[in-house]
Amino acid sequence: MRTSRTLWLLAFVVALVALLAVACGDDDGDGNGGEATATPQDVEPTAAEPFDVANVPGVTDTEITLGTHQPLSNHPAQVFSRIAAVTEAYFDFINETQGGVHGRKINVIVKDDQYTPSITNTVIRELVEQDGVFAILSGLGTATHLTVVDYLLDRGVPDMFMSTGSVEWVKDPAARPNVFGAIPNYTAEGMILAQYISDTYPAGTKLGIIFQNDEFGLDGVVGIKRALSDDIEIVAEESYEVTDPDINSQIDLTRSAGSDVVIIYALPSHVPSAVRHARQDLDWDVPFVITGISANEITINLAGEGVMEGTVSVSIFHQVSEVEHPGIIAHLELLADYTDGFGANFLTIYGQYIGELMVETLERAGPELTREGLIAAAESITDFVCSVCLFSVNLSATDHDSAQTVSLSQVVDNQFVNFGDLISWEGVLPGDLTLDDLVTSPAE
Amino acid sequence: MAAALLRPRTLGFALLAVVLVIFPYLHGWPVFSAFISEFRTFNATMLAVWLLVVLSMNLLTGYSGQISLGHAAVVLVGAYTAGVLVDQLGVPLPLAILLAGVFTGIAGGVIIGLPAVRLAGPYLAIATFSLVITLPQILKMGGIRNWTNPSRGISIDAVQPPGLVDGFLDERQWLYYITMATAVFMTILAWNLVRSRIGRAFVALRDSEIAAEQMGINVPLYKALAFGISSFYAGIAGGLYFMVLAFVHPESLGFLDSILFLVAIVVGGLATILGSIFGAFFLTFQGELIDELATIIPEAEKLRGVIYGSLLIVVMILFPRGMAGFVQDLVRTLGRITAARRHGGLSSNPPAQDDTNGESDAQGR
Amino acid sequence: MEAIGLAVAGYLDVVVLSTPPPPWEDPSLFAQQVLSGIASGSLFAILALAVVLIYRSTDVLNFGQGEMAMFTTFIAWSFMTQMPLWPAFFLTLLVAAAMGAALERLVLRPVEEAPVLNAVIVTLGLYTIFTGLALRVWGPLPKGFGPFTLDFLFFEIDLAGPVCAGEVCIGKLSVATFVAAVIIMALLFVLFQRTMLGLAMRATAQNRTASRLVGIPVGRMLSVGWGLSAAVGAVAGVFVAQNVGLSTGSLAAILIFAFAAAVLGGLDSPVGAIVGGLTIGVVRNLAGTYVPSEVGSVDLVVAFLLIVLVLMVRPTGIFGRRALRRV
Repeated sequence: MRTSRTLWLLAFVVALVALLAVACGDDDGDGNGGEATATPQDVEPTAAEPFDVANVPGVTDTEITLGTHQPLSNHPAQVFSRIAAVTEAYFDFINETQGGVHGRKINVIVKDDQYTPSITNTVIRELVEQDGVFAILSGLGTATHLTVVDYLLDRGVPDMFMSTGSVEWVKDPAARPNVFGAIPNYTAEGMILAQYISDTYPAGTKLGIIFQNDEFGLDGVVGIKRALSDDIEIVAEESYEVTDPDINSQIDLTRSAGSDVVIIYALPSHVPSAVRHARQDLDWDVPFVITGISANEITINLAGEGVMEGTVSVSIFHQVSEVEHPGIIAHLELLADYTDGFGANFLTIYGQYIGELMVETLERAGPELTREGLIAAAESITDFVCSVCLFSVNLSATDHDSAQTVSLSQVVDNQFVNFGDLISWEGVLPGDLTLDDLVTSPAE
Repeated sequence: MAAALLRPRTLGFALLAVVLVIFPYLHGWPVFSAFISEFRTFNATMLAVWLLVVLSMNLLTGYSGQISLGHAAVVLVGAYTAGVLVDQLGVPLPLAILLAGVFTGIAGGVIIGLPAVRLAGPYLAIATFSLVITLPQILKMGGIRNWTNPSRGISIDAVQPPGLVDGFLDERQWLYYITMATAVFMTILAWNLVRSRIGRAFVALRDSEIAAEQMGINVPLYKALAFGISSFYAGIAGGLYFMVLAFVHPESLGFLDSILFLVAIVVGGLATILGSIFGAFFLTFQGELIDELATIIPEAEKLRGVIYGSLLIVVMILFPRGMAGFVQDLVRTLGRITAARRHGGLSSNPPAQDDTNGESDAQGR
Repeated sequence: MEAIGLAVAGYLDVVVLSTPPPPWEDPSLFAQQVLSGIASGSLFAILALAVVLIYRSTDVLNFGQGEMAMFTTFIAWSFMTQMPLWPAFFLTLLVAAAMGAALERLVLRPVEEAPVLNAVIVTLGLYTIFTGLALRVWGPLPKGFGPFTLDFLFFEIDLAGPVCAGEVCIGKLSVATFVAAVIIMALLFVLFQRTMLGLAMRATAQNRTASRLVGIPVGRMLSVGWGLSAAVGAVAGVFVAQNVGLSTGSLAAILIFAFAAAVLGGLDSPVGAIVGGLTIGVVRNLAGTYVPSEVGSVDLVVAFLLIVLVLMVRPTGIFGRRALRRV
C-alpha cells in the first residue's frame, strides 16, 4: 500500500513535468499562431493605420461598453451603489434621446467588489479580459482601486474619473497617463479649509486636527499644514483607524488641548457621532470644519436634527436645496424618468456628473474611438461645466485632475448651502500647490 | 503495475494533470476560445492561491477543530513578509515566498498557537479575530511603518517569465504555472499529512481532547503544531498572492476575507481535501455566481445581498457537509446502485469505500 | 514647504508628536476619557447582552445580530412616524421577538443537527440578507433617530444634552444606555437563575439530548431564545442608533466590539457582557490617549491584547463558567 502510493505520486509528478515540457515544446508551433491572434490591446492601431472598430475592445459600430467596480453588497459602503445607478440612468437618457454618442449607445457593466480589494482584483480582470470593456469608469474606493491601478496601466485601459480623491492618482500624470480624477484631491481641499480657518479666525486661535490614519487623512493633513497661517496654533493632532467604532476619545483630546476650532478628516461613518459627542455629550459648541467627503446628507441624517448646524466644508456641486436651479430641475426629471424613483441627494448628483463628464469625453473622442483617442479627448476638455456643477473641467496632458474649483459650504437648517467665492487651483499639481495658486472668483 | 496505471482513478488524475498543464493556452485555441477567455487564466491562478488558503483553514478548523477568524490577517502577514523581503532587502521572489511561509508558520505557531492552546470554540474564534482588527494598526506602528509603507502599500514590477521559457509563455501563463504547481504540490503534501501520524493526532484532538490525551498525544504541542502548519500554508498563499498581484497594502485582506474563508471551508466541506478544492472554487467564483443568479431572477440586481445570504442558508440546509459531502454521498449512492445491479439486487456486502471517503467524517461536536 | 510628505510617504513627516500630560497633571482629561470610554462601552455592552443571550440559550454566535438589530430599529423608525414613542417601542419588541423566533424555526432548526459552524454560516447569511433588505426598503440615506424624550407619565426625561461635573461631561443618552443595559442584565439574571423557563433554556443549550429526555420542549426553547435575543437586540439597536445614527452599516462596527466584550466577560454571563463592554471602551480610550504617539495609534492593539491576555488566564472570560469538556 505504502509503496504503491509513493509510486503513484512519483508518476504524477513525472507526468506533470513531462507534460509541462511537452506543452511548451508544442507551443513552438502553436506559439506563433498564438501571437498572431494575440490579445486585441496588443495590436491597437497606431496613428498610421486606418481606424478599424474591430481592433478596439468594448467598441462596436453601435455600442460602447464601459465597466466599473462598486460596492453593491455585504459592506456598509453599499449605500454608494446609487452613484453608478444614476450614471447608468443618465446614459439611458442619452441613449434614448440622442441615440448615444456618435451613434453608439453607452452601456456600463457594474461589478460588485463588496468594497474588498481581493474581490476588486478579480472583477476588474473579468471586465477587462472577459467582458472586454473599453474603459473603467469611476471605480470607487481608495484601498480597492490602489490594488488594480497598476494592472489597468499595464493593460492600457483608460481609468476614467475615479471616485476617490487620493493625491496618488493625479500627482504625476506622466507616471499614470491613463488615470483621471473626478473629485478634488484631498491635499488641495485641506489647503482650502486651512485657508478658510486662517481668514476667519483671529490670530492666536487654537486648532485641533482629527484625521483617519491612512492616505486619505494624511493627504488632508499635508494640505492643512501647507496653507495654515502662522497665527493659528495647532494644539492637537489625533489620528484614528477606520475600524475604530467612534472617535469620541479624539474629540475629548482636542477639547482638553483647548481647541477653538476642530477640523476633521474622517468618513461619514465617523464624523456624525464625533460632532454629536461634542454637542450633546460635552455641550461643547466648538466650530467644526470637515472634509467634503463627509459634507452630505448621510452625515447630517446620522448626526440627527440640528447637530451639524454651522459645520463648514467644501462642495463642487449645486445643492439639492437649490430647487430653482435649472440643472437641479433637470436632475429631478432624470431621476423621475430613468430611475426607480430615487430621491435626489449628493449621491445622485455625483452620479449624473460622472455620466455627463464621460459623455463629453466620448463626444470629443469623435467617431473613430480608440483608447488613446479617449485619453487624448479627455486631455482636450476645457471649460466644460456639467449641469449640476459649480466648476468647469479643464484637463491637459499635464493635469488629470477634473475638479479643481470648489465653493465653501455650510450646514444651515440641516442642509449644506454653498457660500462665498469659488476657489480654484486650475492646472496645478498637488505636489506644487501653494497658497498663491488659489484663485478666487465670484460665484455665479 | 501496468494494470494499476489503467485504473480509473489514475487515469482521472492524469487527465486532470493534462488539463492543468494546457489550461492557460485554451483561450487561444479555436474551439475553446468560444467559452474560455484569457480572464480564466487569472481565475485559475487565484484559484490556486485560494486553494492554499482554504487548505490552511481546513487543516486548522476542519481537521484539528480550532476555529480561526483571523486567517485573512495570517495570509496578509505572509504577503507583507514577502513584500518587505523583496522590496526592502532585495531577496529574490521565490525565496521570499518560501521565507514568508516559514516566518508566518513560526509566528503562527508561537504567537497564535501557544496562547490558543487553552482556548476553544467561540473564545478562540474571537481571539484570532483580534488579529484582523489590529493588524492594520500594527503595520502602521513606529519602526514597522518604515518597512511596510502603509499608506501606499508595496508594489513591485510584474513577474516576467525567465529567459529559458521566454517566448513560449507570457507573464500571466508563467504566474499560473508557478502558482498552480506550488498549489498542487502542497495539496499532495497536505493529503499525505492528514494521513500521517500528525494528521490522525489532529483529528483525535478535534474529536476529544481528553481522549487524545489518554492516547498519549501531547495536546498543547499538537495544537501549536496545527497553528504552525496552517500558518505555513497561509504564509505561502500570502506570498503567492503578493506575487500574482505584485501589490500589498494593509487593507488588501481584511474582515470580510476572513469571514469568506470560513464560509468557503464549510460550503466546500470540512476536513476533506476535496472540500478544500470546492472551497477554493467558491472563493474564486462567488461573485460571478451571484451575477449569474441576478440575471436570471428579475429585480434581483437590487437584492444582491439577499440572494447571497439566501444561497448560503440554502446550501447549509441542503448540504450540511458541504459540496464535498454531497459529492461523496452521490458517489456512494451510485456505487450502491451499481453494486446492487451486479449482485442481482442482493447487496449483502456494500462495495469497498473509495479511499477519499476515509477522511470524510464530518466534524463532530 | 512644498511637497512635504508627498514624496516620502511618512506619517512622521506630517504629524507633530504630542502626548497629553499624565493623569496626575490633568485629572480632568483622564476622567473625561474614562467617562467617554464608559459611554462607548455601554453601546458594546448592550449589544453584547443580546449576543450572550443567544449563546446561552442556543450555543451559537450570531453574526447577524447587529444587522437584525439594525433592521428592527428601522422598523421602530417606521412605527414612530405613525404613533407615539412607547407604543412604537413595544410594538417593535413584539415584531423583533416574532422575527427572531420565526428565523430560528425556519433557517436554524434545519441545521441544528449539523456541526456548529453550519449554524454560524447561516447567521452570516442573515447578515447579508438584512443589510440588503434594509437598503432596498429604506434607501441609502440614514434616518435621523432621536435622542428622544421619554415620557414616564409623571415626569419626562429628555435624553439630549449632557450631565457635567466641572469640565467632565457625559451625555444623558449614554447614562440611559448604561441604565438600560443594567436593567436588561438584571432581567436576564432573574430569567436564567430564578425561573423554570430560564432553567429549561440553560439545559437546552448545554445538552439537548438530556433535555429532551427530561421532557423539555427543546425546539420551543430554542425559538424562545432567538425571540428574546432579537428583542434585546432591538432595544440595543434603539439605543445605539440614537448614539451613532440609523443606517445600514451603523451596527456592523459595534457588533465586532460587542463580540469582543461578550468573550472578555464570558459568553454565558450577562454581568460579563457589561463588564467586558465597559472595559474595552475605557481601555481603548486610555491607550489612545496615553501611549506615546511615536508608537502610532495603538488603541485597538492594546484593547485586543488585553482580551487575549485575560483569556490566557481565564479561557472562558472573566465571569464565564469553566466549560465542561465533552468526552
